[in-house]
Amino acid sequence: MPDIFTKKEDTSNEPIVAVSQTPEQSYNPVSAYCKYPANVHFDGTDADEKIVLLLRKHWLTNLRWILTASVLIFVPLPFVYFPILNFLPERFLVVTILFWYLVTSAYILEKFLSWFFNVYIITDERVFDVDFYNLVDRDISDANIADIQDVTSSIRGAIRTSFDYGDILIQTSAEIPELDFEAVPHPDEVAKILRSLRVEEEQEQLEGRVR
Amino acid sequence: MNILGVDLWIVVKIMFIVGMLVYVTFAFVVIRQVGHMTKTLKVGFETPVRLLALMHFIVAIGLLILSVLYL
Repeated sequence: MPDIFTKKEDTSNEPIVAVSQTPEQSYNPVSAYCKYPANVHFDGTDADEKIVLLLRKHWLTNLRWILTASVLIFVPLPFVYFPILNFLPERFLVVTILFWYLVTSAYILEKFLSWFFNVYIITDERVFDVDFYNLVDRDISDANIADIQDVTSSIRGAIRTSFDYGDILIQTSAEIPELDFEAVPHPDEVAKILRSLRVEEEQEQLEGRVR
Repeated sequence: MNILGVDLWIVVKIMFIVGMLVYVTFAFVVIRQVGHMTKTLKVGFETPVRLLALMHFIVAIGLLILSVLYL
């Protein structure tokens, strides 16, 4: 006779692995959500500091520039098939079209690199916000986990709800009062991890194990 | 095509070459910035990213040479 009610296994005695002690995992280097990524090194971190999360904007945020680039690729076609630019000597027409594709490739490169290097890094000690605005401007700001006062995650809109991505606002008592993680995947999970890290940090401070 | 005794296409060619020189400088800055960023953040995807920036620079130089010789 099958059991209807079974006693659940008691897991209370199992050791709880702290967020910062979880082993590193293999990951996709162009993923927007990398948990405990192995072989990731960020210049601002200390030698014994462990990266817990590496975040980028959700891949769906790239859709707009991908569509724009697709249109840009097809722009010269009418000029090839229809004699609109007949007044131009052929050599100028060829070089102009080549130049157009060079600018289009620069646009694609710039947008990809902006997404790729615009990362948010959460370590067991600090939170980093690397803003790569364009190919010549960038900012790196950080705050200690111990300085975090409030973490707010928000998912607004049907698309963001469907694909589970949103913003995280981290308020700190450090020099930089706010860190804003924009359009990151699984914001609730990220907020939960940040809360766990804050608890761990408070515990370390109470036990006098502050690095 | 002449305007005030000056060949218009020569003027266009010079403008094109100046524009390409500016573009090559930009492509070089991109290589420097990508090199700097890949040193700052290592995620195991540095080689393809650096190659993309380098290819962009080489194509820009190629187009500069083409516009000097072909136009």
